[in-house]
Amino acid sequence: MGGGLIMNENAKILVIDDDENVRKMMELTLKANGYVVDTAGSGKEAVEKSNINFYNLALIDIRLPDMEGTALLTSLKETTPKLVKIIVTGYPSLNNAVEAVNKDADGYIIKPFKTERLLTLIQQHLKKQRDEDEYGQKKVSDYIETRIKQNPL
Amino acid sequence: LRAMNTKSLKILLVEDNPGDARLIREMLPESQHPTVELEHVDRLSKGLERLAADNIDAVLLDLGLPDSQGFDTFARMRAQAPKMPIVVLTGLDDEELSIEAVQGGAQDYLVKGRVDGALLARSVRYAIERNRLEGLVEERSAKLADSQHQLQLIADSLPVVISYVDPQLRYRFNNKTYEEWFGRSPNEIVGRHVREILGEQNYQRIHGRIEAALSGEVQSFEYELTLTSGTRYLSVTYIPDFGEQGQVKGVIVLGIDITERKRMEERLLKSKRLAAIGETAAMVGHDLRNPLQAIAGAAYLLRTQSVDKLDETGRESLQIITKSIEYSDKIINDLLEYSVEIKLQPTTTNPKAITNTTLTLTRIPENVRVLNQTQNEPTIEIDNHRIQRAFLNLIRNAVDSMPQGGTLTISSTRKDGFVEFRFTDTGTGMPQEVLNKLWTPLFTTKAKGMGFGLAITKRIIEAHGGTITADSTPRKGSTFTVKLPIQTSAWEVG
Repeated sequence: MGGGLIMNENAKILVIDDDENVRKMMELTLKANGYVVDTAGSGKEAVEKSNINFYNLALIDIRLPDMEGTALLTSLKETTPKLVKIIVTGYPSLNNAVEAVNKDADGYIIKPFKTERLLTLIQQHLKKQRDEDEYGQKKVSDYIETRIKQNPL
Repeated sequence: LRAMNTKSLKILLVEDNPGDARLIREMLPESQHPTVELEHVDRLSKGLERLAADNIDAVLLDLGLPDSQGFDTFARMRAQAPKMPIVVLTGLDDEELSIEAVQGGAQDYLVKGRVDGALLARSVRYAIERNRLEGLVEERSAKLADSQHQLQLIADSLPVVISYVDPQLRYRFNNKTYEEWFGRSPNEIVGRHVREILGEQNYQRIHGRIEAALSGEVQSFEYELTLTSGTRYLSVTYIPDFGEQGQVKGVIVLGIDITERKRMEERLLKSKRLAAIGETAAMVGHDLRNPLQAIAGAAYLLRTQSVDKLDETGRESLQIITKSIEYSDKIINDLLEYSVEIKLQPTTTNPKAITNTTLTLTRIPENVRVLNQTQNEPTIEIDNHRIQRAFLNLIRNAVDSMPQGGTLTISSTRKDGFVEFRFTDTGTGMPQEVLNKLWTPLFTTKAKGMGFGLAITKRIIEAHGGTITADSTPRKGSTFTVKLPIQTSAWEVG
């Protein structure tokens, strides 16, 4: 399998939420579903962790004590494959969420959500990421193959 | 007797007996009177004719004339010249008739054969003077009545309470407003004690004030007047009326009905309070999301990871937790929705389409039959999503009111510029007390439910420029009538 380097089961997720209980629940839930989970309680902590570690996906609470979740979107380190950013929001700030999606986030989910919905959303995004990554890998190998054919020494 | 000294007197004598006429004519010069001219006619008809010319000062009238007899003679003369002083001449045996004439307005009567010059002159003079004074009194009374009438008219047409109360706390004057408020005519109120008119309860509220006014202090205050027709708020001023010695003769009462203003103030206060509740609710609601999310996550984990380790009670508890989370979520959403301004997004649809779509959004129990009799026409411009939400509340309420089953009928009728939707159920119905409070947020009769449903429904309908009303008969069922404009030219923001 060409690009299957990152398996669904060990995809790495960063949960950013200032509520300790929410953070803990998400961590337990995601771990139970086979993900590798890291957490951050503030925007600052999230940025620091993203600088050191690689994550496939980040769940970002729209309200953080030290910055708006939307501001965090642009502060997280660029990675390859591209980090999937999902905003977690409440209804009153729904407009912000839509805005965020239109800008830098890849999706959003409204609190309180059903865990099943979150899991589905994460799966969908990770699949997309994988597909894109595979496609990228394929392009590279295709390219190399073509060059070899063109240059049959 | 100034009036008589300034001019000569012209007296008309109506007398058919030439002897009597001569006698009288001869008597008059004997008097000391400056100038008296006597004109003599011998018939009533001639006398009446003569009176038409207007320089006669008094009439000496014999009641027995060839063309008229008795009291009738006087009456006819009087009718022709109501303001003319008339002295009646009668014979010895006719005194009763004379008295009758005096009662009917004659100034005096003289008995022929018992009259001398002095008496005659004095009688005529007094007759003239008395007549003049009577005229004056009449004129002044008329003027007084006139100005009193004007005053009453002015007082009556003012949208205020006006009265005058004497030191014994009895009404001396009232305007018509009293009549309207207390159901008594001003005449019935005048002379009565304030306590009697206002009633004990109202009287206790103003008693001290009116006493203060009677001791000379102007009073200005607001109070609640309880009437059989309801409560009114008054802004009242008591102004002491001082007599010449500085004593208080009475109190002028001025009261302005400020009920409307008060109600508006109350409404404003209420809406401010609601707005404050809304803001708080939004904050609380938002803050509750996190713990709710944590609970939901924990429940999920229990359900997916640890369900095998749970016994029956544990599994049931888990179900209760899950349901309660959903329910809490609904409450928070209602709360937030209610506190947020409604901005409508109009789309076109028709009564049938909107009700059909709404019906798909909820589960109708098997024992409830739904008759959707709405029409395809007309095309209406509404915020589809919000009206669905509003109708959904009405449908759910109807279903909830029929736990034993029944029929929900939905109909639509086009009525100039409006479409009228009717949601009629055959459920338990509501008593009047419930109907009165139906639209108040947080009012509910359900053990479950926050009572936001109908308040939100109403807001949505009103934001469309529509109305919603409820009718109900206990044990028979309820009908909710929603009127929506076919086209909302100006979308109001509620």
